[in-house]
Amino acid sequence: MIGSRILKSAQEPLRAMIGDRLSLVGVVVLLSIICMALFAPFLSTHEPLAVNEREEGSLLARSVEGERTRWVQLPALGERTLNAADYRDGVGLAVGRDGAAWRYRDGEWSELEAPLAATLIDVAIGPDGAALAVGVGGAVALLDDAAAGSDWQALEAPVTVALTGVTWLDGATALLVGVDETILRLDVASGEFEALESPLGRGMRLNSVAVDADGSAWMVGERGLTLRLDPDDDSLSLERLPTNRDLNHIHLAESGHGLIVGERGTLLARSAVGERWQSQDSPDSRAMRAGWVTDEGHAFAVGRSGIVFERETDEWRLVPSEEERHLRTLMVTGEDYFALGSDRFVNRLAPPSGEHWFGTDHLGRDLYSQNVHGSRIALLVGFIGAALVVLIGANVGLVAGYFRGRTETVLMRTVDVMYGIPFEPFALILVLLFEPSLLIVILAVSLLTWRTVARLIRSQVLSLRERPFVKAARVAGASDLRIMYLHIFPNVMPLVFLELAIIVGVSIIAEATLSFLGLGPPQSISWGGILHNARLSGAWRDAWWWNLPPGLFIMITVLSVFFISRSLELVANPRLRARR
Amino acid sequence: MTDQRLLKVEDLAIHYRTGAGPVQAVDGIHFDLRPGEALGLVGESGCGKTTAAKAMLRLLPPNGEVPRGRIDFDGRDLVALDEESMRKVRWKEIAWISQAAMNALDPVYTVGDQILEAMNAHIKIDRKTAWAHAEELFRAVGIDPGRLSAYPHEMSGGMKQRAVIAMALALDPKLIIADEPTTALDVVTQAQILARLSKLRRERGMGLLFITHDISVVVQTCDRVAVMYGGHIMETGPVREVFGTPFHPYTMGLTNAFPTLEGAQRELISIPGSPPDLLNPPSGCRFAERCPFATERCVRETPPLHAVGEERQAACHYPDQAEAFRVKAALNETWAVVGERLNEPVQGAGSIEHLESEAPLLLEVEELKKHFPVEQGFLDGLRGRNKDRKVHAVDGISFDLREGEILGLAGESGSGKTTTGEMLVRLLDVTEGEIRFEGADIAQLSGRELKTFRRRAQMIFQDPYQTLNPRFTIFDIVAEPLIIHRLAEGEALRQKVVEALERAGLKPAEVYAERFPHELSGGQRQRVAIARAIVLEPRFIVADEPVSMLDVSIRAGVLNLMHRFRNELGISFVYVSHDLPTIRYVADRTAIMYLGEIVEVGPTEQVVRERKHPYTQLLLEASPEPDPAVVKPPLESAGEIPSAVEPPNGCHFHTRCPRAMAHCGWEGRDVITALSEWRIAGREIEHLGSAEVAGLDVHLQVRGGDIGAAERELVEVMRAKHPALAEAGRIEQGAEGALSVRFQAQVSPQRRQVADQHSVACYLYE
Repeated sequence: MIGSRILKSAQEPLRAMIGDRLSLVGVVVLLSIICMALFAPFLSTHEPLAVNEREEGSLLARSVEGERTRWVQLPALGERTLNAADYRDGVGLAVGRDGAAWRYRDGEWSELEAPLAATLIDVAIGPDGAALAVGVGGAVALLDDAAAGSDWQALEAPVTVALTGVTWLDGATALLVGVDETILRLDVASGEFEALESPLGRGMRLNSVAVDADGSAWMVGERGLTLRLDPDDDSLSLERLPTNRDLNHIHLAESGHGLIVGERGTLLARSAVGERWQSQDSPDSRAMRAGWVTDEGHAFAVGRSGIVFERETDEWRLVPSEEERHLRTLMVTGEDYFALGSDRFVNRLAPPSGEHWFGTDHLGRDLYSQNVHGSRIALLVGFIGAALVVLIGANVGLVAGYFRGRTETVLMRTVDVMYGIPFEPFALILVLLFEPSLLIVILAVSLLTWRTVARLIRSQVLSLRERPFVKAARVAGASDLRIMYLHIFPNVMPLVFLELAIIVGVSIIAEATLSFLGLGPPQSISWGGILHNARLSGAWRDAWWWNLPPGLFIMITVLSVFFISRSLELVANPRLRARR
Repeated sequence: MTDQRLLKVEDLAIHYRTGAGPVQAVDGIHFDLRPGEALGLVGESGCGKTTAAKAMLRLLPPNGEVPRGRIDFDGRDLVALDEESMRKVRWKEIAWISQAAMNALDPVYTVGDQILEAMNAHIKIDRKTAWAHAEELFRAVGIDPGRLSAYPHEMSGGMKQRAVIAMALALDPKLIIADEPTTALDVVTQAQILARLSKLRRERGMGLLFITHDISVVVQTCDRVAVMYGGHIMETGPVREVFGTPFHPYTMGLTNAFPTLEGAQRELISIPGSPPDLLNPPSGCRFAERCPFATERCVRETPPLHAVGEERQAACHYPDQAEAFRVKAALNETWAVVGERLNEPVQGAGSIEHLESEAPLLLEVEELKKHFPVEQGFLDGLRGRNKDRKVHAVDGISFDLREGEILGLAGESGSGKTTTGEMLVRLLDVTEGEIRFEGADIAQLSGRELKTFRRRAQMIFQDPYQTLNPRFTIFDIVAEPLIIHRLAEGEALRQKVVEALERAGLKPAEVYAERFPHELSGGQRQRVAIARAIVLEPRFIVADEPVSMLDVSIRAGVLNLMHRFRNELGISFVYVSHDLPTIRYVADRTAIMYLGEIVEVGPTEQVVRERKHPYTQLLLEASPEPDPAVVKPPLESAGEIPSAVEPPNGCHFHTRCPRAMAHCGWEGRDVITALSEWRIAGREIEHLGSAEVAGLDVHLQVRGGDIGAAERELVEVMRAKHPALAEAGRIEQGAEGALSVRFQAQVSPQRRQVADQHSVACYLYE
């Protein structure tokens, strides 16, 4: 009986909601937002808090504008990481993951047919213009003329481990190094591999190989392992270097300048053949992937997260670059300097694209998914907060209006005091006193907002309690509780529904405000929180895709709720109803 | 009378556009009005009478339109008039007095300014002349001209209505349209205003179109009457002839439904059914559905308004059978036929004989008091001023109620009768005194004992639209008392509810049980309220004006119910009403209340016949009388009920009593009233200055220094108010040439037995 009575009292507001065109729009919009919240995991394209990475054949070029040197991003070379590049006599080659290969000629990059499906780790162009690429699983491919065609020829290496470096000893032989201290000498004409025995024999990884001006070959690898192949007696010797960190790349110039880079900003240099390798101070301690030194001793080193060092004379300095990309290799032509990469890098602050509809934030998190998930907190706080507000407000109003006298004075003066409390400082203190959590946010929203409802309901109850039907109930012997909740309350229900709708909007805004101020529950996503992050990151000036969607969502939700409540006013205000 | 017509309405139709189609509120009415004539437009609510009148001044709401018809006023067709000419006609030639006088005045301007404004809008007149004219008008309607500079909230309802009449008269219009001008007022005020309006109309030769639902008011005020029903005029003619020998069955029903005060007592009939739906009006006679004499022809054909006698017209197919109809229409059995047709059974009163038994006492009330504290300002409280100001709503009343008796409680509003009623059922706490119910005092009961008592006492309220919880079904409403007291459950509960509903005339109960109150008519709602009251089988019921908001044609049904319950169930009733004719109809004994005191109590017929107390006389004389055979003398001036915060000294009624004597309790405030009345009469006060009341005494300043002359003037003023006032006051010359009038404190008179069961509280009988 009571259930049907509540249904009955809800009928009138429902009819009013659907009767008004604007409110119908509001209902539809709100319902879709509720659906969005309910099905957020299915609707979102990414994990909202997962960092998104992406891979591409990044290409950066050094540009000098007056005093300033910058590395500028050029159009990427495909979707695959470029691991290595080499340049000789006007032709450059770059190879990468899954057999990606690009040729540089006359200032233009063009993609070559893949020589192998395997990931290529290094490439070298020989003095005769032939090119060798090596890679994972002992892949070796030969291109007879690096300048033309792409008829790669696969060679059968006697090993299956990854080959990580290749260099030409002369026009006919090449030296290949790899994991497990693999060292192979390839006779290109016959295609024969000759395995050389490492003097260490501990199965360590070799990362790079280079030929020195005196014809010897230098190999570097794990934990500072450095080997030298003497051209005279064809013997391998262990070289002692002033480091035992992993070394990633070695480059030797014709003039005798040399550069070895390694993990944690390891930089080793020498300026002439035979000179001892000197450890140099690095401006950063991130891992360096590749280095290059010109005949004049102008040196570069690149590494993860777009790090580029440059040394013109003595001092290394950090050069600004497009920061996300991981640089893997350098290629220097006569006048151009290229840095290539990039394996999976954090896709931060990406503008809207097919992959990330609303772009990504500064941590590379998908903003569309965040916005979809954000609707949950907004609606949760909106509805629970509103329900709590109406629960407190309606009961206080009911009790104050019904009992009058001292009870009313105490309750309504409390309401007056509540009106004197400003919202944001109150919420701030509440959050500071307790741990910030969803509960605290809801409390902060509802503990202050019930004041309006209480006043409104009270004034309505004041007029209802003098109605004859209330007197009749009292004469019939009904208790105060029965009169309050069975007779008076159903009659203020339409008003309660109206207030509920308004307070939902208010709560959503309040939650957004708190989250924007950083008082929201941590680890949870809300629209206000997204705005908060945007502001904190400092990127909110440029990344419009970061600010706009949550702002629009807040606006649309609140607006739809207000459109609905606007139609509900008909229920509470008979004068409006008459005007229809 | 000449044949010239001031107003001639021909075939006027007015429709309201609504979403569901046009509501044909008025559907082709004809009537006319000679200069200086008063025409009453009578009908129940929703019959189109106010709409017709508003159309004349083009005051219809925006969705109202006049699809056809003419309103010829003084040679012009008002329907065709352009807006500007219409504006000139309004107020200048046709003035309007609305029902809600309280709202007709702008609260932020003084009443005088508003009257001047009305004048200035139409004629060029300088402020001084206009003010003088306004003062004259105020005197004419019986208000102190000094009150011109008062704001509306400083005036009582009656005074505001008088001010509105003064405003209407300001430009000497040819026609006044008065729309229920006195419905919201007390009988005494109503009688005074009606008398005043009739007198002014005759003096000034104005036409009056008087719209009301109350035929007794029309009978006493108008020359001719037009009875409206469902947007049609049913009957017109000279007022006393129309109600004396009606031709239309509806008129017969109406006259038989009105209780009379002076005429012979008879059973009242009620007309079953409700007015037709004007959205889809019936094709034939609008009344056919509710008419006990309706034939096929009535349903088929709309009878035209045709002459049935000299100056008489009726819209009935069978005027020749009117004589036979008249006899039958006085009987409830006749109307019961309609009741069966409409599935709304009519129950007669059973016996309407008044009981004069010596049944045991059910309720004894002794020295019952109810005082309400008056809110006072914080500053006043600090200064210790006006401490203990309170409204003496009920100030020591004693009476008793016998088993199976209906006791009428009559009086003007503010006399404390509703407060008394609510204390009897313990809706209000008792300030002082005893209410002995079956021998035990229930005045201070609380908690469980009070709940037990509640089973024995019930109350019925005035407003049928507010008395039922709009969110409950009829079943829930009637079942609630049983549920609260855990008297029945399940099938037994349903059985009891059905029984109560059917007893209250809602048959078959199943039709009503699942409906909500807004789906019922006013009369049906009141019956539901009655069903709720009797479902607990109480010993007595307080009925607070149960019929005052119902249409006349259904009032009798509710009143007859009370008779039946008294006769069949032995329930006692305390019937609270300001309407003496209905009290005479239902009550065995009647107590007349005035300012919280009972001034006269006795068997109803005896009280009505002998009217010992001057207040009883005033009330009875003020009550309008529907019986056209009775001609009542107009009531000239009877003042207004004083404030209950500081009730008058001595007999509370002495201020308005024409028979007051020197020892009735005259006091200083009466001297102020005397000065005011002196000014209303239009006489100058030459020597007396401002007056100040101090307790019972009054101090007056003297202007010009001639104390002797001032004293003579004062005596004259007091004598003009009442010779006894001059007799009672002792004039003394105070310091600095001021005059003081001193009075003696007097107690309120005690009730004295003047006959068996009949007692009066008046110094006349001591």
